[in-house]
Amino acid sequence: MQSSYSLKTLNRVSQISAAKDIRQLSHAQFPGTHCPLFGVALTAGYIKDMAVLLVGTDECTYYTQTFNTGRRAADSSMQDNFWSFAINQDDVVFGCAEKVAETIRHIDRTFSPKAIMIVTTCVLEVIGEDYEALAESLQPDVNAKLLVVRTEHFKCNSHIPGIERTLTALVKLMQPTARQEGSVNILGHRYGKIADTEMFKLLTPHGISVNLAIPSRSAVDEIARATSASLNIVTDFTALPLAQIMQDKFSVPFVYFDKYMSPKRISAAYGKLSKMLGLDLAQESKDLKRELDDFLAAKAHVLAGKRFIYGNTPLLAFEFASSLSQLGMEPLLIQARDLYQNDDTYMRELLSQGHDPYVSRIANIAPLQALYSELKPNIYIGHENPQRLMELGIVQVAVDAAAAKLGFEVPLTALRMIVKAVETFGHTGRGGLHAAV
Amino acid sequence: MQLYKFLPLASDRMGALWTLATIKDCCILEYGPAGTTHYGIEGLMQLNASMESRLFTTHMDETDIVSGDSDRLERTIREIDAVYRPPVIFVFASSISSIIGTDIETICQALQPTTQAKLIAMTGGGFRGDFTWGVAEALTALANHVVAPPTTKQAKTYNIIGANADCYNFRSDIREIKSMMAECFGLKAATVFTADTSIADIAGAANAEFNLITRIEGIPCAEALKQAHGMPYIYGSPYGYQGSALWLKQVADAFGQNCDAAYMAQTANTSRQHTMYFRRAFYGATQISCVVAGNYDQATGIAGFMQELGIDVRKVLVNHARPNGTQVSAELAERIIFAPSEELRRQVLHDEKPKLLLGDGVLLEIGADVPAKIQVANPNFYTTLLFDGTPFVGPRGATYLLERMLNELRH
Repeated sequence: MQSSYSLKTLNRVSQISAAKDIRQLSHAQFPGTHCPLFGVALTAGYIKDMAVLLVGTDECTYYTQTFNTGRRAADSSMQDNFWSFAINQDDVVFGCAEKVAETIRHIDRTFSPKAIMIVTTCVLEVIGEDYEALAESLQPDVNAKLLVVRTEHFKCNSHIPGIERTLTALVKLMQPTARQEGSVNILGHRYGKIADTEMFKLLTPHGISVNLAIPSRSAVDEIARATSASLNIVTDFTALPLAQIMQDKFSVPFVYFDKYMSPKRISAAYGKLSKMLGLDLAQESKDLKRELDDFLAAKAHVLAGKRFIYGNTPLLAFEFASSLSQLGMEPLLIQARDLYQNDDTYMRELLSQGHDPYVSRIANIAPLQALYSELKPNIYIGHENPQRLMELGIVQVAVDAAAAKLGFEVPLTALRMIVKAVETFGHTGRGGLHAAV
Repeated sequence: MQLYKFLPLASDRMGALWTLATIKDCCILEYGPAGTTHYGIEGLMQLNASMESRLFTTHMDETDIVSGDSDRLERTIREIDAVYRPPVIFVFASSISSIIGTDIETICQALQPTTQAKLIAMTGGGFRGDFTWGVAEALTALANHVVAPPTTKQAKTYNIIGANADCYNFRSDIREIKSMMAECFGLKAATVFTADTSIADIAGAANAEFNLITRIEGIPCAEALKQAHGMPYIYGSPYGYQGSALWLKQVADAFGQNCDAAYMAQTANTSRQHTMYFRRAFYGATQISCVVAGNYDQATGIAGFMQELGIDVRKVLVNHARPNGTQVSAELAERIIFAPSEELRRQVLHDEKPKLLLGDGVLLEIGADVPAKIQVANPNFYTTLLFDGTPFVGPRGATYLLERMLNELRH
């Protein structure tokens, strides 16, 4: 058995053609990925008039509820709509479907939600109870529409399937409706205050109305009318399966406009959006881009030549790394969950710029910590132990705030944070003020 | 009905993890899907505790479940042993590995001869009981597997057993107990099970003279240390002015110590002064009623202090199942409820209409309309505790709690 961790365990970008090529640095993982149940918590908490019933162990339900409570305190768009059915040992042996059915009837009778999302967890999947069948058989007895989301973690590597499944489950609430031209849905936005985003502010003066933002500004009745939109704008890759189903089933086309860091991609996405909506957004798009260009003209030198590790952020790992590389930064190691839409393009971009960074599975920072001295990064982008990074003279930047933005404001927010962190700590080294302080 | 709007009772697995997570140089490996480990790490923050141990997960996939193959666990144990060289690895079952019947104990036994670290199997997957079961299990495992035979007995030292992360105010309470023991007897704390400690500290715990058990879940641990190393112990927590004086007397009697007369006189004087102040502040008003909630020792201890102040304790809600060996007075027996459901807690607050609520974060949410509320227990949603000078135990704890109550009740 090896007595230390080695970068040789990992593949580089050039060696990755499938998700399985993204390797772990170690068998022992810390902190480990979040599970799909966490993805449900990030998503279903926004939907008004829907109760979410978690069916799982004390541990699964306890931690999801404490997470939700904290998130509600920070985001007023989140609903207090989660309930837990905590299973016990008898339920594992004898099953609990009938007890869960009675609980659903109770919630339906007592609180009258318009929909109930039943969320099953690992243990339920192992003992093999069929909650899809349960929901179907129970539906005639309850007023609320019943949805089922499965969140077993032993079939996946992250929380992302929980987000995707929550969003696609909502299709069951949708009804065919008359098309309203000039009306769009924003799919995948999981943050409050959609009206404050650049994209919203750009589109609405042109007579475009935002029908729904799913999940962050939506209610069960509104979701039923989601099909009236003339276009879905997908702002997070987790909503692509939902957009595809809506296109296939209700003929609502979609544009994929993720939270890109690349100005070129954002311009192209605005261009596509203009075409689909029959608008001319070219000048406004240029004006918005100018602020980013001006910022880069003034500050690109701060970033040039800086070596970075990309850690856990809500943005697109390879797209983010490729965009920073174009600013003269050097990616050393990228932590990735999986391979997603267009990642092959972003990886090719990295290679064409002469960079071939290591790639490791996300959420396993313990073995990585031993390799910082070998990698010698200037900047760590994402969540890590700030004290440890500070001691090593590594600037840490968590760019989560950029994920709530849409359009050019995404790179502008992220880059401002990185530049500020470098200027306050990076230039002065260990004697300066660390971004995490 | 097993339905919760807030939180279910934390499980035995959670209690054991909370208890061990605060120990430096301790290594914990979970055999299960990674999500619970990640959640557990974040959960520790809500307890105002920091992760001092190294916690890892193996993660687990469908093949592990279908085949029941434990190669992944064995590889990970060997890797941790080789890379981190920890003195001990606690190998935890998860709910999934328990259900599929992975025999963690046998795997640990098989690997032990070729592993430098001591392997300790924690086989409960979260279905054996509530968190107090896990706290007791973890403390006992430390006594049985980590504490070494005494080498050099350290005179005038003692251990504290039962100050764990799930105890809401554990940092401040430990500091106060240490102060009391130093000021009253000139004794020094050796090891605290399990706050601000390390595996090496725990290994050397048998060198202390005796053990103070501050929660009922610590008794099996204390018994194990008594059996193995002849260490005497007493069980109890010093809540309130009278409770603190009695507790000190109990320590003095049990271990042949003499209470410092000046310290006792000073605390008696403070007690009289502050108790009188409190009574005078509400003289002529309707008797204050309260509901107290928390872990068994803390809830019953605070309830006793409330009675000392002349407050009508309507109900004592214990946030877990009734522990073995509890001896509740006839008076308290009528008022104490173990592991009340959310519905029952709502009913209690509705029926009793207390003026003062001393409880956990959930109860404070349920009882949002109660005029005076002080959080004294976990679960915790919003409160950050950094300062270790705000105890609930001991004479200073009594004064601090009394001051908080005065201010809350006056508002």
